[in-house]
Amino acid sequence: MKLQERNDQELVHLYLAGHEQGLEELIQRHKSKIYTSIYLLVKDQYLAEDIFQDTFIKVINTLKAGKYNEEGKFLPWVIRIAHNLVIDHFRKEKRTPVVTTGDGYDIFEVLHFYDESMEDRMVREQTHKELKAMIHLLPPEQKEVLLMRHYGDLSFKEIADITNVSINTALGRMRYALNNLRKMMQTKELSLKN
Amino acid sequence: MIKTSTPVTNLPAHDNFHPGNATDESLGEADQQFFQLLKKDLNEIATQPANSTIEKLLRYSRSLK
Repeated sequence: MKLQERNDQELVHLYLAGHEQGLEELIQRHKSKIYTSIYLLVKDQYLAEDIFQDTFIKVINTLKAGKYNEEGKFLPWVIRIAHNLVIDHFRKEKRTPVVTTGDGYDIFEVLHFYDESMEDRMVREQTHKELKAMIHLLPPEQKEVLLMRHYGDLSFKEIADITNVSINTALGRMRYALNNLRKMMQTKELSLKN
Repeated sequence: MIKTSTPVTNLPAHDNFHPGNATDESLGEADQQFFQLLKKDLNEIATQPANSTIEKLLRYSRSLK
């Protein structure tokens, strides 16, 4: 069976049996979701790289020590580790996140959009730039719920557990995040394409 | 400056709500639809770490053997 066809749990078992490809596939499979979740919280490409690296060092150490709890799903577990490291970072820095102009690179920028006109492409890029700026403007607790729900595919219960709030609160924060984004888009006359 | 709002109450504004089973549907129809539209753009703004970071991690893992 190809590595790409194996589920996360099988890849973990493969890795624990001494096959490094198991870990490589897990990282390749989830790197974008995990890195983006970190990057949109810390707003700094280099800091996001460091936290991504520290996250997987913890993952590797826990797996190698045989301490991974197989009852949980792999991605939510890694997102939880990343989230805790982001919190640790802000605690150490004793500051709230500051909006910077530094940007990561978009995955899709490296792809070619042959069927897209120059004008469409410029509009799309502008929309993405605005969207990132709007996400940065969300209160941190709303932003983390939105990012965990979308990129981490975490349930509201899992998000509630990670952030130490009730499910109602997690759900409420998500609704406010969406409402705030919608309001900001209306203010900027920005619309999402179907 | 765009002002964002924070929840005064966290109770969803619709009936038949069961917190333990909360899904995107629990958000209500309007928010759910907006989130569906937003997902495409959220995917498109996704970024990824440098290859060198991943190579470092794989080297670290191999070094633990």
